[in-house]
Amino acid sequence: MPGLHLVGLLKRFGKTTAVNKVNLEIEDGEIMTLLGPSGCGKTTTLRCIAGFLIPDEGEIYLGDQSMTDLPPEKRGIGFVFQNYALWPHMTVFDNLSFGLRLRRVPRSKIKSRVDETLALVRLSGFAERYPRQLSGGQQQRIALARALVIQPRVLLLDEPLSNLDAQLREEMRFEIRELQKNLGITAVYVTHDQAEALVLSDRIAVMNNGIITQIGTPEQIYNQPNNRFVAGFIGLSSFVDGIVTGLDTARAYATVTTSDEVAIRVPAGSMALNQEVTLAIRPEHITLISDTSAEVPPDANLLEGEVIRIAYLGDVIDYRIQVGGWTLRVHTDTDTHLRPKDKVQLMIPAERINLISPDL
Amino acid sequence: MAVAKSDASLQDKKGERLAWAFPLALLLPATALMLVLYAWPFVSSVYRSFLAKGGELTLANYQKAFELYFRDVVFSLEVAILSTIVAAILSITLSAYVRLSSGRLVKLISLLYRLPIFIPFVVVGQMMRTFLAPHGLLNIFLAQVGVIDLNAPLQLFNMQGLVLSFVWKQAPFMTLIILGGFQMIDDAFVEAARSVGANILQVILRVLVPMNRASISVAIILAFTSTVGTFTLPFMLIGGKIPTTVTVDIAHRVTYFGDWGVANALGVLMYLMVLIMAIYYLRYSVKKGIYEA
Ligand SMILES: Nc1ncnc2c1ncn2[C@@H]1O[C@H](COP(=O)(O)OP(=O)(O)OP(=O)(O)O)[C@@H](O)[C@H]1O
Ligand SMILES: [Mg+2]
Repeated sequence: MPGLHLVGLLKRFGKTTAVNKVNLEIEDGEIMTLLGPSGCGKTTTLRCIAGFLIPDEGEIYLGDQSMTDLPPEKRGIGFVFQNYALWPHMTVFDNLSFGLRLRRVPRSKIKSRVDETLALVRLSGFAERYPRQLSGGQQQRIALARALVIQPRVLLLDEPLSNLDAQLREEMRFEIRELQKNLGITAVYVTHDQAEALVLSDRIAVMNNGIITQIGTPEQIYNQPNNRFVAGFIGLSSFVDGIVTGLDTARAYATVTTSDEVAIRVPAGSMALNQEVTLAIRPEHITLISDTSAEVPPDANLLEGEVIRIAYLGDVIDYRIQVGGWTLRVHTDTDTHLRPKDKVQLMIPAERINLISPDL
Repeated sequence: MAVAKSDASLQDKKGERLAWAFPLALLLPATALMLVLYAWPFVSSVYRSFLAKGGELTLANYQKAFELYFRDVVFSLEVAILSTIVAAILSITLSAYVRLSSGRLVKLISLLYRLPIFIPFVVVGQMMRTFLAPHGLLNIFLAQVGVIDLNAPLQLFNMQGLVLSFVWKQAPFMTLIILGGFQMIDDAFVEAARSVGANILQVILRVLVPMNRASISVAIILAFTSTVGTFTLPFMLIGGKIPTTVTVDIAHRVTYFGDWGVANALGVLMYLMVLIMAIYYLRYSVKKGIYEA
């Protein structure tokens, strides 16, 4: 099965540029997620790939074949819609067989293909039902089956799980990924739910304002966000601005000094002296130390702070801690019992701090 | 305690009885109005179709109606059915076009198509008399294009011309209703069909039309009943020629013979034509549900 390739894709609606020169290479058999906030252009990108929208600029390739000028019915694409869009006047069987009949698949083969696909989504025996006689979760599976039964070259899914309850949604993440891997089909999955994206993607393309700001595996996106938007959108991050004041090339660490003269040790990366940088720090990577005799690794930062706000989140406690002129969010076990105005020591391992150029 | 309890339940029962009667009481004025304004004139006209001139009950009116006007009953039906079918095909095509395309031309069309709806039948009749005349606009145009010879122009003050006029008047009205239905359908239903391989024609026939059976039947029934019942247009285009429509015959019977008996009998026949459509509608659209096959 061929990979999918977007080159300089651009789509405007009046004055808004919904998709702005997007380049994306999705490999054969890969499931790529477009992740981003509402209105960032995810659906528009997907609809351009499907051929429902004609891009103003750019090309779409499937393997070596340009699809840019093909009408949707010639692209061989399976599309799963957010609202499922099962045809209400057709039974499940007819919904699935519609595409096969259009392709003039012989009658006997249609029956077996539909049966196979229904088995794939574990809904054998539902063929004679009408869509309104199915639960939301079942409709979702049928929508998936309808997209798969035509054996598409690419599967596109636009927030397919957003209408399901939390438990089912979590289950379906695994199911969709498993199905995609078993079929070896190239897939593009659109969501604004980061947990969904992290669980089911091979790679994630994070979108904002019509632009892809970072592409990477879930681990890369989470652990090494390369811009402020990604660091803030996926998981939580506290941001600290500073200037590189020292470089320790031998050990590959740099010292970043904030405007209120706090020195923080970070991985050097490709930083230059006197460069302005922003540090992104995840709340779960900070440890609170109340016992001063606790063992501190040599490369860790030790900072002084004061608790200013406490939120109990069930599994963790979310502290907001003032350090100099800025605040850090810290997540701890629920057995810490600090109160506002308590003085604390924070430990942050240097390698857990992400460097971000401030202009992004 | 026990007494008080049964008292309470007694009052509950009374309350229930009242609750049952109250909505009916509210419906009474509306029902009475319907009876006086609709049912009574209708029943009286049916009744009078069975009265002879002297006042005795008879089937003579129907016998006479059939003898004199059977050809016209068939003609009326043919005109109504034909123009409704043509207008339905036209309006479904136009609605689908407007629903599935975008751009300035579509915006213009979706404004312009409504105009004929606001033109009264009399004016349509007047327009069509000049447009369809032997040396009218249509024939002159066709002659210029070279399709016909102006010495032998198309004769259109007959069924063809009548059907054409009705289509001109009814198709926009049907489009208004059908397009409304088409616009209610989410893009995803159309796109889903295209993604599995349907071309535009297949999308229209297999998705848009079946998903809109309700609005299409409403449009067809309203257009059909209005066509069957129109007097002015056939009167102006065909008048007393043979064959003509039942509506013209009714007017003729009343104006020249004062013959209300036969006129009412013809009226009842017209009502039956419409009734067939109404039954069809109730059987296939309402009872079975919109979405079932
Ligand atoms: N048909 C359209 N006409 C005009 N503007 C549109 C149209 N479709 C999308 N837009 C605009 O394009 C931008 C991107 O929309 P898009 O639907 O791609 O967002 P999205 O990332 O899918 O958001 P969501 O998560 O809310 O679905 C938005 O600003 C939206 O208002
Ligand atoms: Mg969207």
